[in-house]
Amino acid sequence: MLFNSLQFVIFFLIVYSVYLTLTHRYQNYWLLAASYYFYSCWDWRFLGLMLFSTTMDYCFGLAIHGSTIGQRRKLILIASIVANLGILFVFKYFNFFAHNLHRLLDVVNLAPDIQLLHVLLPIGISFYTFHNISYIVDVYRGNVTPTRNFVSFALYVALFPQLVAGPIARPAHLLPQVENKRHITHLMLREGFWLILLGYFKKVVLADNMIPFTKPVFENPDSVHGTQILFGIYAFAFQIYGDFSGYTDIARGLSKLMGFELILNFNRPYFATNPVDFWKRWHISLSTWLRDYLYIPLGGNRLGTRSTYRNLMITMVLGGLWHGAALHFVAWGIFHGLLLVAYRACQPWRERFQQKLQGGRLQRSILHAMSVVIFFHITCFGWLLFAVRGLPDVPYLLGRMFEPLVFNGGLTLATIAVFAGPLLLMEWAEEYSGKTPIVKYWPRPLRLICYAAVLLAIILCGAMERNEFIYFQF
Amino acid sequence: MSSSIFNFENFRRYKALPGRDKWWHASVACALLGVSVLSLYIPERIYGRFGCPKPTMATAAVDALSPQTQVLFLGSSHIQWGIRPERYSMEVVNLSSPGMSYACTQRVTQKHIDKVPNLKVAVLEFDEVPLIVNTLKALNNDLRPILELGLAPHELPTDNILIKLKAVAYPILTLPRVTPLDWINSKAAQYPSQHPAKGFAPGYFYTDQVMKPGFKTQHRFNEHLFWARDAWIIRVNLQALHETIDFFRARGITVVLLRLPHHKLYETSRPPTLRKQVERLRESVNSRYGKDEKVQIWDLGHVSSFEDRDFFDAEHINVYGANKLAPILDKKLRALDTTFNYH
Repeated sequence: MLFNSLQFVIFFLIVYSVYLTLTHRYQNYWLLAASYYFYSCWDWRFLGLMLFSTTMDYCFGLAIHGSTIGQRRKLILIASIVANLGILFVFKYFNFFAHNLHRLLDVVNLAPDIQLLHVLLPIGISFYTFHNISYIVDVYRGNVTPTRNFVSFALYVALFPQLVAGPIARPAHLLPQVENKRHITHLMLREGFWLILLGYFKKVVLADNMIPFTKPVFENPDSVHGTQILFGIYAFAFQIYGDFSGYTDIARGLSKLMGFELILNFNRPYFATNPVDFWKRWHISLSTWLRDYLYIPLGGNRLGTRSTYRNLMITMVLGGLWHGAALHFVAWGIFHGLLLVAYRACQPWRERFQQKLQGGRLQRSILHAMSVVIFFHITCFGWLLFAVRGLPDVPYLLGRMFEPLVFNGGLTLATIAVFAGPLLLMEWAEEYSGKTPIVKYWPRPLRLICYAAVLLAIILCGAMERNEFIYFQF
Repeated sequence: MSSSIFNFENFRRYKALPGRDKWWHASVACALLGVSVLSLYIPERIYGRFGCPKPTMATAAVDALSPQTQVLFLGSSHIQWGIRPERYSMEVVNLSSPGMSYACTQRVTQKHIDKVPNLKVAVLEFDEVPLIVNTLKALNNDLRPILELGLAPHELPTDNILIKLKAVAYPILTLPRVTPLDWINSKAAQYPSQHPAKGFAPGYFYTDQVMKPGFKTQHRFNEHLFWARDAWIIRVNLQALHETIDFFRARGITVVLLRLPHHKLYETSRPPTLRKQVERLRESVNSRYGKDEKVQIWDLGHVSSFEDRDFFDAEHINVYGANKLAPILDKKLRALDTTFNYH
């Protein structure tokens, strides 16, 4: 059941109408039932796996909390992480590793006979596995007291707005909201409606209208050449942003209507000036998860320069692999890892350069704008690695982009300008005023015009083909 | 109400909001509703009522209905591709549409009968398609072929509120989107009947393509067999046919049930289930109208003078077939009624 389907709209209206009339305890029962129904709409068989994983981590959480022996607590933690990652590995990565191992050993004629698994990838498995791991680790660290109420824990794992594509919730943030009585304030309603409207705009107007331009580039590279490829990559940058941040906005908006506050997942990522800044703005819930549960436990930046670089690379490669079991995702992770390493390595040089520039405000603004534009193009190169069918397509596409060098794909550029332009303009205003969402600060008539314009754009320009969200596959 | 399950605190809190806020919310809701309604008209303004600036075959056919109309052809694409009105010696209008069922035919008839006060003969398609098909489902989201025949959403033959809503919202569901790409490609988004290149006559679909050797009918039969599984729709369509015939007869209009020529490949490989449907239809008409001379069945399905060259595919005749058919039908129509005014 996609957010951008009539089925979901009806589903949510029913769920919400009933939800508003229930007491807290029954709200949780109702939401859990609705979330399981929502999830089973893709394939009811996936529900069994989620229930198993939920029950397992509920028990592990209580076991860790109940144990006072450090060694035993650690053992349970390891067992839980191995079990969670094991499930993820079997369903998502087994075939990838088996296939690549086979290819590797085939070079020296040692290829073993590995049977590939014919299993479907359960939707949202990466997201809820990370939910569960963060719960177990936080319980182990003593940051969270495990809940004894199974329904509360199950709802923390399965809350339907964030179930299949995040944001990846943290127990310390979401669990108390599940367990305690929720108050729906006037402001939450207002922000919720706006986020839903904006989310639908990003998904059906921005992201889905880019598909006709990105599909030929990434699915049929032979059919394109010249600047059409470059503009196709720009289009993908906006497609993936609109798609994923649109989903998150809708998820956050729906949650707000029900009295939940989900964490911010995107913060105007294309205004980033460097890789560190980018990862503070893009898929924040994943980047902070990787920081807290992988980078810092690996040693973070506490063990010297070389270890820091190694930790950054490990974190980013695994972050890339999280997106999918394919080498181009690994390459995307390596690319971002290298960017972070390079950025760190250049720190002294950057500081000297910035000191020289002190004083001229205009100069600094121009430099800032240039950094945004340059880093956007660097990000776009990353998206090329991310979106291709396989790595051989990358040099092929780059070759076709310049040979023959022709200016084509003007329609792609026009579409980006028409749909991404207004959004970027609004984000620019938010960026420089520090007011988010800026609409909230506008006078009522202006707000009304904005709501109406966004709705009109959704109805008139939105692609009605009910395209899936890209991040569902992860 | 106070209980352990229900809690109306949220509603009470909303009720306690200042009146100004509630007025503001009502204004926002009204404005958004207004925008939604307004948005139904914008694609029509940009792309034309049905996605093309000129009249379509079906809208032209509706416009062609007049007191001079003497013969009305109603049916599915078989009729639409097979009847060239300008080839007949009397005033003929072809009011057909792809996948038109008897239930749709009934609504179209009721809608337009007043425009043809001097109608003498109504020719209804006699075949399995109008009997088994659920037109509104078959057309999926694109209800234009039926709406172009002048039916308003509330006149569609269905009680399904969702389909009626889809029909109301068709400009935003089926017309091209208001995007640079769709604007440039808007011509390509029109379906073939909306941009006739040649031989345009109201209601007639012109094609001079000839059926390719080795043409496979299985796909089409599978589709028909799928539709034929719905016994309820067949009952509804049969009932609609009876009512349509009664409707015409009550006005003194002769009714002809016409089966157009089909390719021998179609006739020989047609599954028994579909064959039975037509036989059932024949029996039903015969038992009910057997004694009425003004209700006739003309089964031209096996006419031997039609060759491979006359067919577009196994069940549709092309322009050569339509040209060959016209004098045959014209002669039969002349024999049927001597009071026709000829061109």
